[in-house]
Amino acid sequence: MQDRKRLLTVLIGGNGETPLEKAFAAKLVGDMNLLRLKATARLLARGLYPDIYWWDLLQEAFARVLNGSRHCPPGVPVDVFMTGVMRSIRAEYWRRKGLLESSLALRHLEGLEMAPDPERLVLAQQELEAIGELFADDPVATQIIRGLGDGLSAEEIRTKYGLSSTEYDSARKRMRRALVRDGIRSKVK
Amino acid sequence: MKKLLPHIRLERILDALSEETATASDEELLQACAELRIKPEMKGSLVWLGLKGVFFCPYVESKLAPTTEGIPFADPEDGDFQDTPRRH
Repeated sequence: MQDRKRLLTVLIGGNGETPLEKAFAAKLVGDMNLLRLKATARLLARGLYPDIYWWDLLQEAFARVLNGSRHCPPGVPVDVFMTGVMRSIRAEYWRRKGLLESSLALRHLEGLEMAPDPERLVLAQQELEAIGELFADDPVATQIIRGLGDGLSAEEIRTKYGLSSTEYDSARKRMRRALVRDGIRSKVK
Repeated sequence: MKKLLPHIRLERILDALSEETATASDEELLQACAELRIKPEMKGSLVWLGLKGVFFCPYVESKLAPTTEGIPFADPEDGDFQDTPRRH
């Protein structure tokens, strides 16, 4: 068993002691959770700086659960909870970056209004386009994405684009399938 | 309506879409696997190993772990204390 594990580690490349591996060994997550979380982590890594990979988000989320800094409330599905932790890590990442940038800028440009980091804007624009391409063949999904970006609720999106509840729900289902398919494919970033 | 900056739009979209993937059913996952010709039941297959490769993706603590530089940690408001997924 140990030999097999060592062989896998050599083949796949890793240290065999990652937080995710420990969480799996402790049965905090199973195979299907792994698929779901992989798709979600890949989504939530979009737009982060290129040195941050989707598995960084996932590993960090599990590290925080294992070290006790995050607790899953009773009754909350583990994937929903872990998604929240990853979202929180993402928000924290941008807060840190923002503070770092503003403190550097203030040192040199006191009084100047802070604009968002241009690299972040470029990355975000690229990801918006990539998400748009994912749903390019689906006009209703494209409208929903546009509405979500505008901060509209489901009701507001339906009203704005004249969608029935059925049309809206069917499109969300198609979107979910496309996102899962895109998320579990074997690609790096 | 005023056009929002791309990073703000992206955050809103990812928030909503991540709820979709987090709540995808097992059937939807298996269907996606079938479409990608991944056979989860064949646990020894190379494709499945590739999928499980996430186990061995390195954990680089310095990338996202909280620091002690006075920079705020994750805010509970950010979402991991939600007891139900939000639906848009």
